[in-house]
Amino acid sequence: MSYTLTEEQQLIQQTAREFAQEYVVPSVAECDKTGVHPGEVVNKMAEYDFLGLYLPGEYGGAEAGYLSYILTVEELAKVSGAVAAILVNHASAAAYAVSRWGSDAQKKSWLTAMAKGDALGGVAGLEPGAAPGAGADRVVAVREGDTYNLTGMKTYVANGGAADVYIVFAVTNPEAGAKGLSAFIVDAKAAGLKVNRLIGKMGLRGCQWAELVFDNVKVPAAGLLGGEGAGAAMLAEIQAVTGVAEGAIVVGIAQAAMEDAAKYGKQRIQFGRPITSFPAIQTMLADMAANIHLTRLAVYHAADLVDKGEKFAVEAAMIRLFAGRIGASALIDVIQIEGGYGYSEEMAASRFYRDVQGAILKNSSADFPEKTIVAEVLA
Amino acid sequence: MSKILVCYKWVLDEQDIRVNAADASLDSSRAKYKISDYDKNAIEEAVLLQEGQGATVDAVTFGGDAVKQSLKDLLSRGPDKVFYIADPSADKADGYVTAGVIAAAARKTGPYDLIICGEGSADSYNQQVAPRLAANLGLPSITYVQSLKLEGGRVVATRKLGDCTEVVTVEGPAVVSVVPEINKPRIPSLKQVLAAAKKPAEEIKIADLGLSPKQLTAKTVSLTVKGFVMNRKNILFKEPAQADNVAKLVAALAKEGVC
Repeated sequence: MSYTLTEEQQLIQQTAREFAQEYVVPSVAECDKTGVHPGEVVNKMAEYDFLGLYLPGEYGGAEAGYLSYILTVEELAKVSGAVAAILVNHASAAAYAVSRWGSDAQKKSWLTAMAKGDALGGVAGLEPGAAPGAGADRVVAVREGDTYNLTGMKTYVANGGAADVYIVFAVTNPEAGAKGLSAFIVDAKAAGLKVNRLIGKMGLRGCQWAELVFDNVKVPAAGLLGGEGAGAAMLAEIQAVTGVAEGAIVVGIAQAAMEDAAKYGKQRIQFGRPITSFPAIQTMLADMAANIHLTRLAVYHAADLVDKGEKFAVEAAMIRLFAGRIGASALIDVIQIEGGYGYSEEMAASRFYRDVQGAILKNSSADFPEKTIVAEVLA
Repeated sequence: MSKILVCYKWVLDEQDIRVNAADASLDSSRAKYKISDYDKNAIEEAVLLQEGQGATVDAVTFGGDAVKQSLKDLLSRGPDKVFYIADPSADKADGYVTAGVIAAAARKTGPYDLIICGEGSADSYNQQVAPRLAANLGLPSITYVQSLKLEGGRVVATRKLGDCTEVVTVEGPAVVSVVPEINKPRIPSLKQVLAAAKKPAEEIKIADLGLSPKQLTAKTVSLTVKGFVMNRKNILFKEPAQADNVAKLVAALAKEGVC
């Protein structure tokens, strides 16, 4: 791995930065206030090739590599964690699954649409009160001839209600435990699939979470992704590759928040001098800068592993563990530095704080990262 | 098919330049480079003509070694090809030298139906290159252009002149300088960024341009460059009657030459 970005990667980073300022900034406050999916911004992201950034050129993607995509996510997150999360749930979760395990026919139809931005994706994995496939309301898929009938409920589906296609994890063999879980590509317009409700949340407002109800949704057998029983391993890999991108969201949010705090601190005069001249403030900023830098390096390294087709599960788990901690602590310090302004809605710190909490933690209860890391340590 | 040349400068981003409060000296050690903002309008206008009328667009730049970093950025914005003259002498070049170098390059790579420049550069903003380039090439010069059309061999331009406009028509080829109002430069899509790597970039050695030492010697010499620090006067008017405060404010502004 080279420790400097290529000229191309720097240009992609610059393009994403300019895009965020031009097209994301105007809708940030409204998106945070209403929690409504920012469709126009997503359409613009499609126009600028963000939705298929790392996906294969053969299927309409830009094939720029996962690291270039990560740089884009980071730049978007500096302005809006929600918009970055929409992209991540589409590209790292749903589109990744089709790209990684889809048949040629599935890729031609769905991956092409997802890469071009004609279809936004989401992953329906979680179930109320339980791990995927283990809940009382779990989605069960029963094969009848050339179709599967899906029945049950999914919750916390990111991009829910806005997505055009879902990767749905359903139980095909109830006796087989985790090995009975399978994935399906399901058209959001399929008969019997209903958005039961949108779930209000603390941050990342605009990246909608929804509860989906499956009432005898008929999915053609050709919609089975990666074969029966492959779901649990697929879900783990999706969570890992998504975790890398979520690390980039944390880095982006924390970097933007730190820059705001430094700017504010240089202007805020206390006892006749800027508060950034006080060691306590300097220590906070130094800790933040070091933590952000280290997390960024870990994220770039993991993205490089993804690009090279090497294993990245342990590195992704480390990112989820570390980024989750440093994101929250950075934002607490930012609010301390900015004082009343930071706590108020006059500055972005309170939104950053709410967003950073959701950026990395939402999968932790189902698959805590320490387990993956320690398994490697003790191997 | 029309052939257009667009000129651009690779400058330090002014947002990254810090002014030392003690002596107003400039610290550009952390500054990154960018395409001069005014030149982005020139590039966009050339690309709009390329898209609207099927023109081909070449770009040219003259700068120090750093100018090589600009090529993909430039090509991602739409031009078909870029010529660059990378030479350390560019650091001391003024409008006279720069226009001479670009004119010599244009003679080599042209002929062109239209040459487009930004109204000035984002760093020195001397607004010299476009008219000097026209004079050097013996072409009509149209400055401060806010709208532009190519009609057959004619160039039709609307010039922005203070509070009025002037429509000018000349037989091409011509050199125009455009103002920011002419368009809104696009942000290249990621596929355009990636495609830039496949477009041609050709270096022209300054020694191959046939310019004399005199033509490469600046006519102006920069003695110092300092930052501008604005100091607030913090004058408060506290008369009981508001009318008196207004009168004092007007008098103070008049004293400063504001009104």
